[in-house]
Amino acid sequence: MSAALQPAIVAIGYDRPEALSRLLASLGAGAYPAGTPLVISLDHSGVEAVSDIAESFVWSFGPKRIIRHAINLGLREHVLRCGDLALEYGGVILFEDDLLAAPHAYDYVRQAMAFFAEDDRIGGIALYHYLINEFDSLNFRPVADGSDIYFLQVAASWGQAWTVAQWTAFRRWYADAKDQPISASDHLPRQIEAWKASSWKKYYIKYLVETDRYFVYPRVSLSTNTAKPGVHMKRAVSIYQTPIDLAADRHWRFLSLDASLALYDVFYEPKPEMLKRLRPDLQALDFDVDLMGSKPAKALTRPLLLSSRPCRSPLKSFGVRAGSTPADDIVDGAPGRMFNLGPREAFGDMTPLARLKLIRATHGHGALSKFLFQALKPIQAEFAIAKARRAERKTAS
Amino acid sequence: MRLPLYVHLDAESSARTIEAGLANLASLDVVDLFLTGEPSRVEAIAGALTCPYQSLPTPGFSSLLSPPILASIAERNAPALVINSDVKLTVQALEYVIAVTAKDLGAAAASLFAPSFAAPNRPPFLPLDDGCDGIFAAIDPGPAIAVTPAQAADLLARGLDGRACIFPRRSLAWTDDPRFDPAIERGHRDWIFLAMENSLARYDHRLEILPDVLRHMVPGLAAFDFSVDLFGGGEVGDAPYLLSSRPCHAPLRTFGLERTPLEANILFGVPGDMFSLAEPAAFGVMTASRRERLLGHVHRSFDLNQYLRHFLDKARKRASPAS
Repeated sequence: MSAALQPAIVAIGYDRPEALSRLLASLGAGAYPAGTPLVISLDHSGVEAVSDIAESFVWSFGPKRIIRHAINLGLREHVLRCGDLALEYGGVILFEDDLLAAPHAYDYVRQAMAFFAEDDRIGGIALYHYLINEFDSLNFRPVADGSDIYFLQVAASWGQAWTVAQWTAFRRWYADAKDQPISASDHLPRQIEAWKASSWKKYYIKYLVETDRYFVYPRVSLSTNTAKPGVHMKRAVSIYQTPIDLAADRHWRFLSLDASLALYDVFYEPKPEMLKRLRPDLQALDFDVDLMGSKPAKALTRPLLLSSRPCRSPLKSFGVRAGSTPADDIVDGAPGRMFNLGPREAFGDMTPLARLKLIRATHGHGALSKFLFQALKPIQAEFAIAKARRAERKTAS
Repeated sequence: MRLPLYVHLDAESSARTIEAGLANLASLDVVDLFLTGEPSRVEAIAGALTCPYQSLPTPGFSSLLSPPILASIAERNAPALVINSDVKLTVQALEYVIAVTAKDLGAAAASLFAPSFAAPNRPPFLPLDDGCDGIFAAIDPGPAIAVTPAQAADLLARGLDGRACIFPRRSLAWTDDPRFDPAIERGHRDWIFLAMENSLARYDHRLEILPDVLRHMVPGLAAFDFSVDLFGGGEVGDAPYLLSSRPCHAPLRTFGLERTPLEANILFGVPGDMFSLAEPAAFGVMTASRRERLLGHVHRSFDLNQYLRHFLDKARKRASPAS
């Protein structure tokens, strides 16, 4: 392992002393090479206890540095400044204060940084593994391809790392993009429009989609999200808790983007090239994938579509199997008509009944609750978007 | 090395299903095929098969690990694979069999199925991840099993007898039976296995974590002899103490419900009162509300009531200019 690969760990705090204390305790229980730097970066909140905790925390693995911002930067600017520390340290690993780190997170990041160092299609390294799709809360299970990782065009914010090159490329893009609006017409989930102005993540997601880059995600998590109420979380929930890695000495089995069989887009849908690698009979077809039937029309541009939406004239049809994943059903050619591949114009809108059927087939327990959440979430998102627009207009005037 | 492959025939078996099940093998030259089952079935199918085979009738036995099959394996010098005739093997199945049988891991046998199938009424099984591709559990190994000659001799002598088999985290075979996870392993893997004694992913016949694992990982539990009942199923065991999610009026230790899987709450000492360690007599019966909390947690369900309250509260505030 190169000596240069000793990224700084950055713990991000604001106004939650207990949360910061828990995060630091989890970091302190980890394994690190001598000299590993820890930065505790505190946005101004007026809560003295946060600063006291940072001060009193003993970091025995290397230098500890506390950055106290004199003014309130807001979450977006604060995270951006923490990312900028990559230039100083050769890389950073960021943990917001509602996260907990796995004991061997640092080793994973160093191995991942070394493996993907030359691949500029990688936009960052996630430490968190998703068990659910962040946008619709439905289960997410990437296809097993023999590796310990998968690729997803969603920026990780629940434990993430950047090399100098990765961060510099984003910063270059962001310099031009930061004043541009973000909308579903950028081929993004509509929900992102409802995210607050303080979200840095929505920009990073747009960057990944626009430049066709990916985050590398581990199949077993190196961080978990306690989802305590904060800037972006209204209610304490446990759905974002994910099992963390307990291996003491793991040789991570990475695959390149070109060899991976687990490539997912910003909607957590399999990329067409992934399905083509797994099903050579799809190789010659030019199609979009919308298995959950939730992509906006503007995100569907290719002549063919593979979707759970109703289709008048399917070329191929696939069923759904209990306990499976939609991608696995397609790859195995499960018998049935839940998913259709056909001309894009042959598809109608997703119906509530089809959605309920799909959720029941793929989820079993709690399907009705998940379906109702699916029905309410877009309404909530529209309220939030309207509110955000009003705020923008107010600012502009 | 040629792998002995024992295919157990039942009333539904046909030459077509058998050949479909073996279609992913690079070549049938890599296996020595044995047809097992009732003699009449073996005779009926065998004539229709186009590939070379040997007959090993097992009259009166429906189990895959029947004495005639185990005796045949025990006499050989290579690990064997025993499957039901409706099982389809993945491309990676043989690699897995070779890797999982290369060393004595302490398991009674190796399943080719991930253990999600084990208990239909049980919540989804999410094993601890200790960096190893295998999980040890004292449950039925399912319809595709790898067995070494030594394991076969041992099974012949004392049967499974509650011992653990090793299972992959993703299945290396599939069937049309909906009890089995269809999301199979699709890539080539550099398999990593730990011996059972070093594994953290060790489970009993209900897929509850073994007390030994918790004692090893949680110093505060090391001194206690206890049974584990995190899912509150009610099975107490005969240890003097019990660790359970059932309501407890005299706990010695308590743990909350925040992390996943459930045993992680014990491993990381999460504060709270969902799980208690106490004498078995201190526990009451499982309540519906506790059961619902557990299920909601393991299924990662949104608390819809809480969500609705939040949602409606916002709408109410919006509708009321005075607020």
